[in-house]
Amino acid sequence: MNKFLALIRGVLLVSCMVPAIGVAQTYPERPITLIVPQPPGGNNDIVARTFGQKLADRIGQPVVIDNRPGAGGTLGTGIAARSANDGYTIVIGDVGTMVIAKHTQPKMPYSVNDFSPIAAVATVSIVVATQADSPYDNIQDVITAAKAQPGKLTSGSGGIGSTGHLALELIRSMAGVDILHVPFKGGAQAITGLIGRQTDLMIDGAALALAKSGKIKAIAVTGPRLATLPDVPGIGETIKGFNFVNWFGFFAPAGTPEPVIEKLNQEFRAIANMPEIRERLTNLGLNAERRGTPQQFVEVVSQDTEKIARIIKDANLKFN
Amino acid sequence: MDLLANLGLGFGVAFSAQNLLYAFLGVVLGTLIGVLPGLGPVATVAMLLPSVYVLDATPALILLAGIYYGAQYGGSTTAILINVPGEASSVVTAMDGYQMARKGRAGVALATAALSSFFAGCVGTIVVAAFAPVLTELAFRFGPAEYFSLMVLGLIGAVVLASGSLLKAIAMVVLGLLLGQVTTDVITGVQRYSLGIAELYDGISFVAIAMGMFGFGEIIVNLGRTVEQREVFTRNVKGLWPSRRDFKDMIPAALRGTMLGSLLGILPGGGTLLSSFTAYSLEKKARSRQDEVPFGQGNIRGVAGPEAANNAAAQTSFIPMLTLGIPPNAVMALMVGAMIIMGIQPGPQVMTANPQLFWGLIASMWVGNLMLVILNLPLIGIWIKLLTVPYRFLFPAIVVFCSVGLYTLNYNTFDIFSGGIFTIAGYVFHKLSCEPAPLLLGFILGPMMEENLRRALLLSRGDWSVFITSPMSALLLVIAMSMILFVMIPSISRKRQEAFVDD
Amino acid sequence: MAKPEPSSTNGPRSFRKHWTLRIKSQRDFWSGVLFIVLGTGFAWGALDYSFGAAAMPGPGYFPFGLGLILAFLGLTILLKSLAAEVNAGDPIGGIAWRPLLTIVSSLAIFGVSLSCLGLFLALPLLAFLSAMASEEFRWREAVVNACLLTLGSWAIFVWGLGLLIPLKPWFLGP
Repeated sequence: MNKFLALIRGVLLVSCMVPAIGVAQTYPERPITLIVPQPPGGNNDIVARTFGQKLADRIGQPVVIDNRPGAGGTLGTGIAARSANDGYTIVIGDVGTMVIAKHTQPKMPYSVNDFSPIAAVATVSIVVATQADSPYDNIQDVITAAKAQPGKLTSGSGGIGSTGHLALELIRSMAGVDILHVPFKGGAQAITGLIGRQTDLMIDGAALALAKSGKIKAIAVTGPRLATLPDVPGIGETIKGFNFVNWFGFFAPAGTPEPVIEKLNQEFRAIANMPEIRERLTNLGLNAERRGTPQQFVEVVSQDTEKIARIIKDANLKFN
Repeated sequence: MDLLANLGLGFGVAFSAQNLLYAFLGVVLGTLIGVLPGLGPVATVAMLLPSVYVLDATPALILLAGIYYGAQYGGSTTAILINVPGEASSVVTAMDGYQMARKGRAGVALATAALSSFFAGCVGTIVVAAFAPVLTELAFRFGPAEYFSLMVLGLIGAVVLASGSLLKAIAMVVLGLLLGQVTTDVITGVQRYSLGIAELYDGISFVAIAMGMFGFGEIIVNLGRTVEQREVFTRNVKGLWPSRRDFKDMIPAALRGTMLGSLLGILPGGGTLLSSFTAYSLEKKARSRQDEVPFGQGNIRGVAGPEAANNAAAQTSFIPMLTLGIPPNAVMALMVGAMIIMGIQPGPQVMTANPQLFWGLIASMWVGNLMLVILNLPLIGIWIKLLTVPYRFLFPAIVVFCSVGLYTLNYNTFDIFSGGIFTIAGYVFHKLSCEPAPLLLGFILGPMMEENLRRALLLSRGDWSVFITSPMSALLLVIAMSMILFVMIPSISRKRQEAFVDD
Repeated sequence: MAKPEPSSTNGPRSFRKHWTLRIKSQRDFWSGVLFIVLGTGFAWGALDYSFGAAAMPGPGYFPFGLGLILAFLGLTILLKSLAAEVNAGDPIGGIAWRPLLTIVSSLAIFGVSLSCLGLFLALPLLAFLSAMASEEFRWREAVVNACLLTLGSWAIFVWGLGLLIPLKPWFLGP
């Protein structure tokens, strides 16, 4: 019986490989669907559209952007996980859907192992902002104030389990301070809360545009300095070893033929290297990620998976 | 005067051939999106993105703004004609507008909606131009405590909306609040009442409820009637234009609605909806002629007030976006995105750094409103013709368009199923004479109310007195309490009278 | 909605109106029952979530309270329906089973079939099946109407607005 099963497996493997070899030369022969598990208009969507359009120009096949929002991005990512692994369905992922979601969602329709990472194309440090006239000018001021009056400072975020929230948790544990987290429904509302003086700080990517206009004050970013805000230091420059970045990258369902992954990786890297693409990403407040083989991206994903699990464990966070 | 010079600059920009064209395209597309039931912001925005990113900032924003208020406008057309409120704020319009249509006054209702909206749009535009910075500051005075109290006031207003039993209306509001609890809790991230269905993590779709209870529900009720009963209202279409008397009723209502809408519109989130509900409650309480048609049966003020309010609010809801770059909804988020992509920093400095864009957009709002009224008044004749199509052809068409609309909400068939479930619920409520409008308001305000209540307590470290120590919150609660008294006193006195009669 | 006139059969009722528990408004009675069921259902469901404290309400606090309020309102409505005199028992009346079942099931069938059969098959099916809800249903008319509606929907949604809707059945490939 076991032999019989092994035989079937062998036949299946061979039959999978035969088209795979064929695929490498002819791929792509038809339109590629790029699933965006967020509603249109956000950063994930703009990155996906920017790269999708350039990809289409370069490979001579249309790239169809398919927005499948819902359940914090897990609905659309789940659809991608269940799609055929032939390279004609790929999905844009970030730390939220690929790393954090499994802690916040009670029923995950996929795991990160259901995907083959293709390439990370952009990284972003999250902005820590305060009111323009606030007494805090840098992260050290915040830490000093928080230590003087534990639990008095408040910090808004775009929601529970958002990257901004987890960055705050990392600050709390690494600096040993107590700052109250105030979740809002989306970054725009967190800005309203900050300007309305309901919260003292906010940590969310949405703060970037207003920080540039001077209406609110960016005091730090959670990772490397951003190209658009070169004067705003990273928290790591004050708290040694602090680093928290979000990334955007493309994923294919696990088992997609290696040559297809390689080809897409090279295309995406080439696109990320184009000056006009880099400018557009900079405008969005993102840093273009130009290096990165698929293997390196796998590495990044697994490191972040460990890191986020540690933050959540250290802070004793419970989501449901 | 500065304002005049600025507006002059704006009109110069708005009246360029290219920008006129984009404003026109925007309002046409917006009207179409509004008229197609259920076609929501997700589909619209996805559809427009590619074209928006290749345009310059000014025409792109003019196009998007046109779509936004065009859709608000188109939404009331379906509400009046087929009882399908395309947008949350059209629920109120459906209540009396559809009843007017059933009495052969669809043309008058549509014209009333068009004219009130136009008037409110003009006033709203002036408010935006003259008071944008001042109103922005006002909006920031609204913290969670103030929001919560405003929601309480809005819900009490919803009870006043009911034309039937007060007790049942309160129960429907509470049921709406409970349905709103089916979502991910903002404060703790717990998915409540999801039954393990991932689609319910983000809550039940408003459009699915509105379409099931109003649109599909109405079809079933209509088909349950005999053919003769049904044909009465389609065959007997009276005049298209409001009479002198209609104008007399509608002008004060539109004025009141415009004032309310202009104020409430600046509140990010829910301002547009609250304004139309509040305007309706206000009209119901305002005195008018003795021989007026009762509310809920086709009162023209029930169309003029809320329509003016939601259109004025639609204009003033641009304020937070224009002055700070904070988008209150999906279409405006796209506008902010378009500005960022073009390298314009949204925020207070847009007014000084890009005056062409700022004032051009404001001027184009007025131009767009004018275009809408010019476009829509002649269309009324065509819409009315649509009602004369035999019902056996018309209703499958409504079902088809609504179903496709439901699918495109999130590109997910789940919303079609929830539409079906709420069709059954709507029919049950119809049979039990429970009105669905208070339920819908409760459904929308519920999550915001809870979120703000809990955030207020989080920020006050559990001190409930924040709701009365904030002057604005206290004022709103006092108004709410006096509204309860206002509603109760007549019923108390009526009970007394009845008691006397019984003796 | 016009309430039916009180009929003459009300006559004897006035004698015993304070003494028997008879349903005096069918609609109110069943609304009461419905609200009690829904209210307790939501309150019971809320027990799964943490309540927190009055100072820091948890996710179960609001729905539990609201559920109880709804059940209480339902009870009040129910009791009133046994006491107050309303128009000839305020009957619920006949239920339009045919349109109700036809429309709801055609929506369900559309929901199932759209993803596997695609717009070109699922939409005419929806249009045709829902047309059966009317007593004036005629085969030929319904077929023609279904075809026209499908063509129109394709023209507006797919060709005109460029929305991504599955068009073809699964066996014809993507």
